[in-house]
Amino acid sequence: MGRYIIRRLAQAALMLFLLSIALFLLLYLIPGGPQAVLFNPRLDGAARAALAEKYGLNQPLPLQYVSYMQHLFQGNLDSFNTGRPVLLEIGDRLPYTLQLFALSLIFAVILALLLGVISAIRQYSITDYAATIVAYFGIAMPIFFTALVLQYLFGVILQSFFVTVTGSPWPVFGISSPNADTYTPLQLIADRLQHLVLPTIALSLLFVASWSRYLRSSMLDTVKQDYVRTARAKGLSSRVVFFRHALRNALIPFVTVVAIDFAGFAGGAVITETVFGLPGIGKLFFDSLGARDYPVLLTLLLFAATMVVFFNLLADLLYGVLDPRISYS
Amino acid sequence: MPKLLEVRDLKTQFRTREGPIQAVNGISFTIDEGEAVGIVGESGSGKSVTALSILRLLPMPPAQIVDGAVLFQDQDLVDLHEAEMRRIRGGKISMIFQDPISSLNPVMRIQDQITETLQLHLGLSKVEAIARVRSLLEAVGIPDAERRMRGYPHQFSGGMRQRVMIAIAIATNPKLLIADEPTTALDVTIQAQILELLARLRRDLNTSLILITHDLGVVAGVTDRILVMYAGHIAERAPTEEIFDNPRHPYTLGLLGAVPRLDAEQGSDLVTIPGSPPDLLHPPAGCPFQPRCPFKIDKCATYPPDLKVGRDHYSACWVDVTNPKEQQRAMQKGFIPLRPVGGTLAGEFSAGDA
Amino acid sequence: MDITQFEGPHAPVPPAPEVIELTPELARKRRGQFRIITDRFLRNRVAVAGFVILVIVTLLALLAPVIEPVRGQFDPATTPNFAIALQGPSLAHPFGTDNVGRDELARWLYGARVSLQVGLFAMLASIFLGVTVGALAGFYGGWIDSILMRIVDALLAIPLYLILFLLSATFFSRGTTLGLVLLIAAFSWLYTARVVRSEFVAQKEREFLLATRTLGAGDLRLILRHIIPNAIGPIVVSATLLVGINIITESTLSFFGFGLQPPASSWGVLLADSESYFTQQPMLVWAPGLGILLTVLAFNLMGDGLRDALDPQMTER
Repeated sequence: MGRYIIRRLAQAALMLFLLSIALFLLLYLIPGGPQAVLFNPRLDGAARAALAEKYGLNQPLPLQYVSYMQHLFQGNLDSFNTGRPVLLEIGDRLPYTLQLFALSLIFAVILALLLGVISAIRQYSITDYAATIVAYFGIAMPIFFTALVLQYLFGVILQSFFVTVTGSPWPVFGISSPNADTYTPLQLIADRLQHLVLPTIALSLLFVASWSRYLRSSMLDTVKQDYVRTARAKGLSSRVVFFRHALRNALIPFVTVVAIDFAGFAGGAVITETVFGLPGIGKLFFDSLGARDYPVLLTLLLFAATMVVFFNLLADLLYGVLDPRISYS
Repeated sequence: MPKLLEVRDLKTQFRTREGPIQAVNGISFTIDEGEAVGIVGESGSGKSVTALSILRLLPMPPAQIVDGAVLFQDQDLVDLHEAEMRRIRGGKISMIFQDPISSLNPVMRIQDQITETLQLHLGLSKVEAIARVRSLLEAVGIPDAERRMRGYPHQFSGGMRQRVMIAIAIATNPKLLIADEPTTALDVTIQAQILELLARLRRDLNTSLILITHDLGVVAGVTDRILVMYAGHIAERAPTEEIFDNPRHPYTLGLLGAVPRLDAEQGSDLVTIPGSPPDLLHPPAGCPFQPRCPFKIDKCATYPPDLKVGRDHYSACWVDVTNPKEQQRAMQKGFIPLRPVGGTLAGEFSAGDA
Repeated sequence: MDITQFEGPHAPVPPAPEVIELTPELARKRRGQFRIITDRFLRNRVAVAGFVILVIVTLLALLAPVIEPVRGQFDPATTPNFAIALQGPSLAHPFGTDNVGRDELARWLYGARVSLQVGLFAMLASIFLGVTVGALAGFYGGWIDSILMRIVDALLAIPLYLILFLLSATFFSRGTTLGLVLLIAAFSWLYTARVVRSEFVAQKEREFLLATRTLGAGDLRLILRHIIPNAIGPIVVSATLLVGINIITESTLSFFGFGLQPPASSWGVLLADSESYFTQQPMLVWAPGLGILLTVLAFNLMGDGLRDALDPQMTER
């Protein structure tokens, strides 16, 4: 087990290393890359040279890469835009994104489990049909459009139905209420959660839709297996057959699918944040994109890739917990 | 011996888009307490559906028991309430399936798959049940039971898994054990061991047994009586020796020809019955075997009654296959008698123009 | 045996016939199979509904230039008329007018053209890439397989939209349809490659390939003539689903200003233009939004229908 983890970590590290080189080359070689910063028409020759010197842009590419990595790991890689260390910039925004991300992931997984299981148990029931229809629509909607529709629904049409505990209209934009500085800590938490409700729904819909469909078909596949018939032949009630025998087997491929969608989930979070005006990583990304802030952009991509790889590894380990046939040797 | 199970005019069909398939078409038989009965037939003859109908384990829909009764200890299982049916399943009637590889839950420990029935039917606590598991595994001949019961199915060989399946089935000391092709998926050497185990356990526990197989060789040493099924009907039923020594239905003759024999010449082909079982969506009128039957006569256009041909011996055939004239006629149609036994013939059907 | 006939181990292998003769029997068999699949697809009412929606949207898109002059709205993209800006739906303007007074229906129709074009062409490019990579990896195995699949894994680890936003903003010729098509295709072939690879690994083991192999068929021939036809089902299904995915990707890029630029009008561009007028004239958002929703839905329904029609085991119960 320990050996397996070490091997997988080494593989992941190697992959991320190669990916960092590829992304670095991609970003620094393409027209419009960091070099373009130097061709700002407002700069004179001396200023350009100073800028190139400052960011090391006049050095050969391999050296630039090495110095990028060096600075990144030493924590003193600075943003072109603000001059602050990149890691600080990311650290400032990360909590907002993590909150949305974690909330949405938990919400999506739980809802997908519930819907998938109910649809499979009550195949061809009204619930099943309703879940199917919602799923088809959820999968066919771009996340930003879902977000727009939710804003319109809660901000315009249902304005009078949904209000916060303090009686103000349900928040459809931003991360906190204007007068949040007067709130008690408890009120602050409630306020934050209220602001995250719609973004969470917007981000989750697509994934609830596709995961619940996947679990449904995986469940229906599983209940046809011989061991489920064996369980029924033992005289177990259909509930026990379903939950003790079928569900656990159906969860094994489900975990894989959730893990595969992880990168998509991260991308969706960036989109959702932007539409709802949350000050998270998404905002940092778009700001940096506007300012051609390459150190931040590259670091963000690498950070996202690292997270995805890490969670895939986690999913692999979970896979082993669920399926005793997997051996880590 | 008192009667344990009576199946009366059982009809099970599958609904498909193209129409209903009559998988079991009105069969009747009884099983006494402690008796072992073999149900023999090709795949698609309805033998497995019969077993699954008794326990009501068929997926419904598309399957449906349309007629008949299954009387178990004078209780009709066909319209028993599902909750009561569950008490019978695994408690009074247990079933062993064909493929031990896929019939055990891959993500559950062996002991948990056994304690499940013990807790459910015998009301044991988890601790008591686990204590019982060891002796059960030892009873079915699994060595090192104490350690292996904590393992998972994939750590067991096919034969060992079938032993585990048997342990699950006998755990509640059932009145009736149904084994559906229990040895088909196993190596030949293992097959004999499993059959021997089943025969021994049945005697020790005084359990009735239904042994379902496509291979007459499997039932030979184990069962008291044999039912030969074809296309959802019972073609012939008789005590086991009678079936071997004095088969009366042409289909049984064909099956006997298909049994690999130790005395067969080296390299001689394994005999099969030419033709294939009828399409149950559009079964032929009358006797379903007639398109393949070398003994066919005009009368076969109507389904023959269950004719008594001997003591406890019934055959659903219009033709007396012991009659030399009939044999002569069949030989012209490609029937090759293999061994004259006790006045009748086991035979091979050549792939001629039968 | 005539020993003079022996030509040694390097004897030329007789060439396999270059063409499979299309005997009437073979033709009938192929036609029959096609009919069965078509029948199965047509029995699936939901999939047929998807197909009908697609036909309608496609016709509308194709006929946009023909429809428009009749309605007196020629070249709507470049004819602002502030006098009628932000009107609600009316007979003259069924979808209303946008913030500079352009007919929204006209823009919607032209938008449908662009959205469908991007979706379809990006699908073609990405299927080409995905099938090529998947076929190479699955057919040759070994280190080729390892390298290609590691590349796929690495690309799958980057959130798609981040890299698309970034590349679109920097170096891909933003604004042109071709650039957008290539950009989308460059990152949407990954799943197709995986599907095709596993299909190839399965097909490769089949005996008929061994037989063809011994007849001396070249690798390329083997792949094109024997494996791809057998793997066509999964490829067709993923192609259908890809069109929908690409339309969503395009709209997302355009919505955030990284895709097509005005005056080009894909549905995504329409959404970007009208987002801030949602409360004033909701139709401006609903029209392109539901256009995307319905079209993608239709592609997905059709994809599922095709999957069921091509793989009956999945549905026969």
